[in-house]
Order: sequence, then C-alpha cells, then structure tokens
Amino acid sequence: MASIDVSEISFRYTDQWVIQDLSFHVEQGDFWGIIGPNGSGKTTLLKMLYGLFNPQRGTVFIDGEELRRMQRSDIAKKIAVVPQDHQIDFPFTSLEVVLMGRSPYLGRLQFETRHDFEVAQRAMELTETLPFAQRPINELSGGERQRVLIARAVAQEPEIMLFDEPTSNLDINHQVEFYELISRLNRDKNLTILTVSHDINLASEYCQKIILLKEGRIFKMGSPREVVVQGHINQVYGSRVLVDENPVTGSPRITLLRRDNVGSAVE
Amino acid sequence: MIVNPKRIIAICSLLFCLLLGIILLSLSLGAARVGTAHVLRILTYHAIHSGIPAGPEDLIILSVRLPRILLAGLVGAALAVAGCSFQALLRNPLADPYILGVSSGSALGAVSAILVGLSTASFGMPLASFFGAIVTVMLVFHVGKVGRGLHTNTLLLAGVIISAFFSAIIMFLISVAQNEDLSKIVFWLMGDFSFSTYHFILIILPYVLGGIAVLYSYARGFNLIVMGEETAVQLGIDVERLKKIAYVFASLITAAAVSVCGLIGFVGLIIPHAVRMLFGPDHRLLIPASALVGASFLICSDTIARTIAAPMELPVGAVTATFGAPFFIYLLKRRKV
Repeated sequence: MASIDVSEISFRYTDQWVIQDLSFHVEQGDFWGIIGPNGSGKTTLLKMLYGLFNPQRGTVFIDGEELRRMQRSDIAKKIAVVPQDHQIDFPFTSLEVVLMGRSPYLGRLQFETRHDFEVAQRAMELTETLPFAQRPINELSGGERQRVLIARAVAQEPEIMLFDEPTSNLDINHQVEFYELISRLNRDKNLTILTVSHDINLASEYCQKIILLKEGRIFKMGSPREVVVQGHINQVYGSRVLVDENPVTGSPRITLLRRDNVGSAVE
Repeated sequence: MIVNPKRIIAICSLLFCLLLGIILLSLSLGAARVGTAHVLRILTYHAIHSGIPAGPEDLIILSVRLPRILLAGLVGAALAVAGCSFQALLRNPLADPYILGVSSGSALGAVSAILVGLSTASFGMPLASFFGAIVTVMLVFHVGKVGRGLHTNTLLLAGVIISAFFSAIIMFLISVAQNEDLSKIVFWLMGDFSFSTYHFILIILPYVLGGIAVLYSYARGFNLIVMGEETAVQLGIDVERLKKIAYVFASLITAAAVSVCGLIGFVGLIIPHAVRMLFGPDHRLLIPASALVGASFLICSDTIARTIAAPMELPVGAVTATFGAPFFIYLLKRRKV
C-alpha cells in the first residue's frame, strides 16, 4: 500500500511562500493530475513529494511515514520520478540508463545482478525501448528518450510514479502514446501516479482526480468534471477558454479562444 | 557494453601490462642506453638482494630513472582520476583538475617558496605548494557553498575568481623575481620531474592511493550525478554528500600530485575523455582505466621530455600538451559527433 498524505504544507525559497497550506490525500492506485499556470507551484509541489525539498511547515507522509525522516534510497524504492526532458552530455546507452533505476537496491560497491538485468529488460519491453537498448541516450529523439526515462522509473519497481510535465517536448501522437503507457502502468501494476501537466485536455481525459493550483494554493480539487469548468479555468489562467465535452469520451475539453472571438463564442 | 567486474578486470589487466611495458621501456631510454633485458636483470636482482646499487648502470636505473618514472606514473594516475571526478561533479566533460583553482593556490605556494630561497629538491617546496592548494580548496569551498549545499555554478565562479586573484599575486611576484629564480618558476609552472626521489613518492602515495580508493567507492554515484543532480536524488543518492566528497578528495589528490612536480596540464582533461571514448562513460571502469592510462601517458611524456633534446630537458607540461592535443583531436574526429 502506498498512499500519499500531504498535510498543510507550505514552502518558500526566499521570503515569498510559493506553496501555502496544501493538503490532500492520494490513495494507492489513484491517477492524479496537477494543473495550473506557470509559477503556480506545480513543480515545487512535486519536488516536495519525493523529498528534494522539505516544506517549512506541514508534513508529507508516504504510507504514514514522514518523508523527511526517510533515507533517500528508501524513498527511491517507493517513489520514481520521470523528470522533464533535459540534455545529458555523457553517452550512457539506454540500457545503462534503465539499469540506473536499480541503484536504490544496490550497495555502494555492488554490481547489478542477473535479477537487476531481468527487471531492466522487462521495463524496456513494457516501454518498447529494447530496439535502442545499445544506443547512447544523447543520440535518441525526444520521444525515445522520454520512454527510456519511463523505463528507468519502471525498473525502480516503485509504488508511486511522479511525472514532471512529461509531454512538454512531444508531438501530439507521442503525447497520447505517453498517456496510454502510464495509464497502462496505473491499471496493470496498480501504480499510484501523479503528473504535473500543462495539457489540460489530456489531463482531464486520463486522470481520475485533478488538482488546480493557483498561486501556491489549491483552487479546486476533484474529478475532471468538477475541476475543468469554464469559470475555474478562466479565473486561474486569466485567459478565456471554452469548455465543452470531448465528443467521444465525454470528458471536459477546453478550447482556447482568440481575444477578439471571446464575446461571440462564450456569451 | 555493460560494465561488469569481469570486463573491468580484463580491461584493467591489459592496461596494467601496457603500463609495465612502458615503465620498462622508459627505464632503458636516456643518455645512457641500457637494454631492456639488462634493465630486467637489474630489477630482479635488486628485488631479491637488498642493498646499495653497485654498478653505474644499477645506479642510473634504480636511483635516477625508477623514482622519476614511478612518480610520473603516480602523478598521471592522480590527475586523470581527479579529472574524472571534476567532470562528474560539474557534469561537464571538459572540466579538468585545475578548474576550481587548486593550481593557482599551489602555484602561489610554490612561487613564494622559490622566492624565499627554498630549493626545488627540498621538502619546503612541496609543502608550501600543498599548503597553498589546500587553502585555496577551503576558500573556494567556503565561497561556493550556498546554505548547506554546494552549488556547482557558484563553485565554478568562486574557483575562477580566486584563481584570478592568486594569479595576480603570482604575476606580481614574477615581476620582482631574480633571473635565476625565474627559470625555476617557469619550470615549476609547466611541470618538472627532474628532482624526483623515493621520498616524494612515499609522501604522496597515501594521499593519491587513498583518494583514488575513496573516489572509486562512489563510482556508481558519479554515474547518477552526471545524469543531473535531481535525477541522482530521485535514484536514492545523497547528492550533497557525494558532491562534497568528490570535491574534497579530487582536490586533495590534485594538490598532492601538483606539490611534487608543478603544474602539468592536459593529463586530467584528455585522459578521462579519451578513456570514455574507448570504454564508455561508466565510472566503475572509467576511474581505474583512467588511472592506468594517465600513468602510462605521463611516463611516456616525461621520458620524451628528458630524452628528445638531451642533454637539455623540456618541461613535461609542454610535452603533454604537444602530444596530447593532436591525439585529442584525432579522438574527437573519430567519434564523428
């Protein structure tokens, strides 16, 4: 069982609070999305969920255990993070990168065992990254590299997976593939998933619950139908959008509007 | 190729044999040519029978060439491993052991020692240089610290600024130096093994071997940190601790190496890079392989420095740069990236 309990956390880098009095509870196997405009505290919140930052006030509990008291390697056995795409200058192969996911299970001087290779192999099968197992990570395309990093997270055998704006560098086809893959992980492995997302439509399509952040506070939290509402989105993002339903799935869908169209379309 | 103990042992054994071959060849080369077979006879004889070397050839091999070669090897290994560590710490494959200012501090120490009249062969020189390096390391560490953590960009800037400051003092000292001191200073600044003794080897050996051992024990952590500091945290590494250990021990072995022979450039930059191109970026192989290749490379360079224009000697740093740069270009071209 891996639940996340966030209890009244606040965080500031300097004097201004960027996260204020946030509380929520994520159950094992849930699939949550965190949305909000730039600077609303999404990524900072995510970083507090795996202990990169500790909140100055309040506490994060993983399975009832205080996160700040846990060893880094113990956290890494429970929580895997798929970071935003970034440049890597050292030519590790995809397989080597995926094997790094086994790091929390290895002693400092220990080498990967046959079992670790099997876990890595399965993770690469699942993410369809085996064809480029021997290629250096810095020579892959954005979509391929993203899948390798997901494979590394899978190889960690975590109970919780956190994603930081995972689709920001992907084209539309890869964005859908990405969400299909992580909802498969959510379903088949009963992984708890939290993803920070810029794409409200994809988040409302795939997530069970959504947190809408505004200036470090929860503006609205609940099912996509409860959160992705015209009034909320307009108020938080400060731009006018049209919210209707996805004609196929019925999930809420937003349409961005040009400023000069706003009157005729919304009213 | 995935790194496993078998592969590490295989490659390192090969590189070790290469190193032994280079040592043997270097022992035989010089003003007095001694055949390699004869060198082997002398070495085995004295390995079995302790005592003072008898003939002139024994004396040249055992008291002149061997300490110099062993010291060059030790320094080469130290600089190469320090280079690997700084490149990992700063996540920049073009970093070198001098990037954070160790060189300027040790140079200031050494130049001061020369100016107050300490001889290059005495212990005062390496001591002053080591002291200068350690003071710099502590200064840069202090300036580069943000809160309780090390911020690599701040560290880099601190290194640059403190280097610049010390270089200014060195320039001043050079401008007031006497002529006979000047050539000593120039040789020190470009690296010089001509005063090698077994004492120097024994003094730096524990620092260098101990430092390399500590750094090697964090090799897997280095693999993770080059993927990004946050990534390393996400994979269970205590990154702040790792950065401090990398910084302190890589600086320590650099300081120890530099203190006995001056500033030898290029080894710490080119060797890790070349080894990475040959055997991949995994630090569990990269660190020991770089140590062995670094030792071989610096022994070769020093042998060239003392033989190519004999009886005159060149500064070994000039040789490492002359031979290192084209080799580096060749490797870069071969990689076609």
